[in-house]
Amino acid sequence: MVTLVYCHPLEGSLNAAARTAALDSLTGVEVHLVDLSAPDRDTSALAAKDADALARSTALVLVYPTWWSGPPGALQHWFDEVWTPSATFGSIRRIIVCTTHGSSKLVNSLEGESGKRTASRYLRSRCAPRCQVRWVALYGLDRCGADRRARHLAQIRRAVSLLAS
Amino acid sequence: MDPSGDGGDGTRDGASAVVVADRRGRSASLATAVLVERLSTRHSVTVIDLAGFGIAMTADERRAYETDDPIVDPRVRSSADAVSEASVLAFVTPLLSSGLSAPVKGWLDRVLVPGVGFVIGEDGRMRPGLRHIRQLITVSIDDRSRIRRFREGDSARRVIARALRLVCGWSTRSSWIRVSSTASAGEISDAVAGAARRW
Repeated sequence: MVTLVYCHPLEGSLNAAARTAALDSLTGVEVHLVDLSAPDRDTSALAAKDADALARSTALVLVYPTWWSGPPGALQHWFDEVWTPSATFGSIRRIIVCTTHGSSKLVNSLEGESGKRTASRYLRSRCAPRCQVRWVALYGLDRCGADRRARHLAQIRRAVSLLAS
Repeated sequence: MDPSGDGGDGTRDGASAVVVADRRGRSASLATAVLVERLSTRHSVTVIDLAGFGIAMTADERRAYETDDPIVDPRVRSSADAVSEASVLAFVTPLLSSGLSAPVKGWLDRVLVPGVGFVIGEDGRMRPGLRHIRQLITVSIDDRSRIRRFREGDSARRVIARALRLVCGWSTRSSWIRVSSTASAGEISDAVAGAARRW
């Protein structure tokens, strides 16, 4: 089982396309989809259900835009509610983060890439001991063309399809 | 919003905005009171209480983000106005996981939009929009040990001290005050006073 968490307010966004690409690459795999963009979603009420799904998952896929160096507030809320200090998900052996950055890699390095640290240190420390983290990021989204967007989606398909094999 | 201080008596040298994520906790409430008291000796202080402030950017806001008028919510507008006038920006926030608390992160996402937090130039490059902020202050209510904070990445501190500071300017100073949720009023007062000597 794979838990896929999606967070972006616009349905026509590149992140929405990334979610679709990831889901298409998981054909035949049981997927628990956490759609944080749904306007009527009550993350606090659904935290126990999501934690239960994570406890049965072997992989976690996160699809979100990086804003102010980290995940959006709605995804941070999900971390706060589900990944509580006492929560561990020892069955998760892989985390794939699919994200977009408006600014360049250099600017993000100066900003400290806190989202990357959240995945590679905080989330990973609560998963299986040798859990692998794959970071699939598109930097400079504000000024990139259709070819780089297409390459980003292709990268996501390649990375996520490994979970189905 | 809870403005206090007249800012026009000749003894104050600017405005400050204090963003409070959750005032229900005892430590957060005490820290807010101590911080406001300390800042109000030299600044007019506006407290921005995030109770009931939406955590997630809405679809309408994301659409407006690309336009010349990216703010659609009056509460977001009030916050943006307070930040635009401030020379000190402070946060009082509990830290539950590695990153900033969700209310503060949602506030950053929704308030510091183009024209407030940064400016997009004609060449498409981002330029700092908070050069008037001279001091960033964070009071974190955090019970984690130093080792655990290091192991978990301490992402929250990076968002304020690096990402936010990047749009203020490197000469802007950043103070990080950590207090536990069980700290006494005296301990909180001492922690804020100790940091305030450098402001």
